[in-house]
Amino acid sequence: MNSSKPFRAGGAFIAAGVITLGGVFATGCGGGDTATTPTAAATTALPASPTLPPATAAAANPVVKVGNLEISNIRARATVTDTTAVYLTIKNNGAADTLLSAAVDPAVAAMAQVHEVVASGGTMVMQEMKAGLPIPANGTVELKSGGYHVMVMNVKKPVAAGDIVPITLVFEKAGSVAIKAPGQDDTSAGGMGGASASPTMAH
Amino acid sequence: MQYVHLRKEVIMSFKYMTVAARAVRPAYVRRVLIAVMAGVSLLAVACGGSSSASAPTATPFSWQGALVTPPFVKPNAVLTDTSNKPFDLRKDTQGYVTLLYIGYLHCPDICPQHMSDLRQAFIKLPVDVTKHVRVVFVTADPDRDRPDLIRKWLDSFNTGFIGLYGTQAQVDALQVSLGIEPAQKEDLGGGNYAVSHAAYVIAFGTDNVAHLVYPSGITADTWIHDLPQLVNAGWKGS
Repeated sequence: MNSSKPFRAGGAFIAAGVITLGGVFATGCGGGDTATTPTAAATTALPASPTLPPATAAAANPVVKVGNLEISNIRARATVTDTTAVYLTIKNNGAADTLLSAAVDPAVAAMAQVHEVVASGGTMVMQEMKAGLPIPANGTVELKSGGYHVMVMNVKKPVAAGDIVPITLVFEKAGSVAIKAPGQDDTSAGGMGGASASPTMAH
Repeated sequence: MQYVHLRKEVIMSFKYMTVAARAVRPAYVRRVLIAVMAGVSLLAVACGGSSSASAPTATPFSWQGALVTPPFVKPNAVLTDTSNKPFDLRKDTQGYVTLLYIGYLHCPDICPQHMSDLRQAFIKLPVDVTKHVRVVFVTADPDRDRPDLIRKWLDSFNTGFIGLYGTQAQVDALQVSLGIEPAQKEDLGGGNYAVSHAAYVIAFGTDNVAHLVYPSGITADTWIHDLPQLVNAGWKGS
């Protein structure tokens, strides 16, 4: 039901142009300026996106290796609702692979899906990546706000900062790997996010 | 179709764009095209030097939010707040810089990220600034987002953030008046659904006019940069 027919609204129009243009910026700016790089661009701009230096997060958040892949900067969004998002970075040291799907223990939540956020008309919608998320050869893919995430639905208990969300990632070539995502109040990749940034600041 | 495509280019976020957008004010379409091209060429410059947010010579103020062209007036809508009292969007935010966002609680990504950024900004900004700012969240998913849940969710960011709901028709009408395509449900299976929605926060000045929007992808620093100016100096971009 995605209508792409012209939508008219008196005068004010606003749109998701951010996405298209964001792609240009992300590419144009290369690495470094992560704080202002539009993440929404990730859907189009993705794979060779700037590799975040996970300097501070690395210590507290171990790198998980499976096949040629290194998964790091794993975190889940702390929330009071029954849905959360898991974010992480996948570094591929070998041939191209695909993140096919994600799974979660039914005791923890009802289901997990690999999602992307895309523009639809003038709005944004998130949707399951049914064909999976491509992990380019020797490339890095970031799952971060505005681009990709693993959505975990109907969690039995809302994820608080420090809670662990265990999920399984299923890759086409590397196979399955279990990861543990610690809940964080601020999961932004470029901001004050890191695991060491005192997640439980006053509410 | 062409109309839609052009509209997509209108809002160019990010500081690289603002100068170009401000300089160009002719007919609608031309404004868009020129701004796009100018913005892209400016990018080279912006990326060339230091990526620091603080440009040394900042006269006039360089907004990090994206300019709204043309600016529009705060809609005259009455919804219901989380204590189940009527909330008149225009009257009850009169005199405040008002940051309006339409989203939904089951949104795991963009909605909580905006709120999280605002939470961080409100922690870091002086009270003299934040006391003049109202953050207003309106649910696009009134079927699931009951007022007590909205309150609980907002409280996890900032107890001062305002939460509003209404009938689906009311919420849809508000979106239309803001130039946003009304939210649609997208099935995710297992009884879950996502809701399409605008991914930006709309900033109204104390003049009750929206001049700036803040798309997905900004950070708390963007607010920390722009809000003091909006509060203390007002909108001076036109």
